[in-house]
Amino acid sequence: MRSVVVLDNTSFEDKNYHILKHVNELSEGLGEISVISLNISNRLMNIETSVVNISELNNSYGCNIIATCLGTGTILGIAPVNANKYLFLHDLSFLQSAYSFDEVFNIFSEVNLITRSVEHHDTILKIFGIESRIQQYLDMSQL
Amino acid sequence: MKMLVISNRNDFRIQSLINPLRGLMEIGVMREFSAEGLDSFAPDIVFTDDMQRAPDGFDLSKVNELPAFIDLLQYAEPVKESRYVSDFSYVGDIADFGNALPKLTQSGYNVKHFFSRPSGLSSYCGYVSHDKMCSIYHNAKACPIPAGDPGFRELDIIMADGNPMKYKDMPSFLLDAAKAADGKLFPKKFSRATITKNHTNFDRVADILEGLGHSAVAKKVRSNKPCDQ
Repeated sequence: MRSVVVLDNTSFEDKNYHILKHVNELSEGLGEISVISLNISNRLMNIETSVVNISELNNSYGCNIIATCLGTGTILGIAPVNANKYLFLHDLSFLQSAYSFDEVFNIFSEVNLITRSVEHHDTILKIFGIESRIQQYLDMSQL
Repeated sequence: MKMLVISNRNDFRIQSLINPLRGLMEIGVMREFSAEGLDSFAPDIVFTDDMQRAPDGFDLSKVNELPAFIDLLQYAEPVKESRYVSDFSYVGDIADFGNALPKLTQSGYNVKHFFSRPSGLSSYCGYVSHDKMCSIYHNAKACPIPAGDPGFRELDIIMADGNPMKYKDMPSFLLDAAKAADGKLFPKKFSRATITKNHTNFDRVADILEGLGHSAVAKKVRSNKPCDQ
């Protein structure tokens, strides 16, 4: 199934490294993956597929769309698009800052949540009562 | 009629007291006393931090001495919501509690702690809007109350049909927690009916206005009190 990965940026960071490495591996075989980046001006990593603007999100019907942080998850959660929505929570650092419980709950309720470990899964389950699937590194072939 | 509030304090109790007066009179707020501002506004009623310069007003430092009350205008009927279900829920600064809440978490209870500043604890669940507070209390098995709490929280918990669990000391707190988790209900200081009848911001501000000699306005405030809670 065609997949769309939504990143907040494409700069060098641990999260992007693993996600884009996976994108590049899959794009060689399938060619059905594209990347949406909120900020395409700082494209630093090599991406071997199309990178498009966030405005393309609403044209992504019938595919898997994977947000990769709370910010992109917020956009994806309310996007009026008929697709399978996922949010890959790379880390839980947002829990250490002031956040609106209800806003985050609503985002998590709108998407299929992916956490990276049993500990992350249990933390999200305890705070929000929402189940998530576990993938240490994003694996779109398993979605 | 005009009212002037002279205060630079960001105190929810002062806001609650003023709320019933909106619509009854023109209300001005002055962060720091200004004789010129006072003269030009010409208020009939003054609530002030600075009694030396406005001696005819209500001394806002006495807010600390007022018996606890609820803000009837901000009250939202609690609803059952799975997102708020917990063993223990607390809305407020965790510093008021010492290490009592972490103890509950360590004991394996589902503790939800809401506040505008993150605590760094695993029980921290972010912040919520005021209208969700009653639902949070309503969906918890018990709602811890710190030892030095002035009483406002307890009234909110009772209004939410929650289960107020007062902290006395750590051993009895943990014992109470175990009982609450098994369904024990703790005694309530007032009934909901008593709170809505006598312990609302409408009652408190009407008492203050009567004390200042504005009995007619106080009567009007009481008559405006919502009675459908």
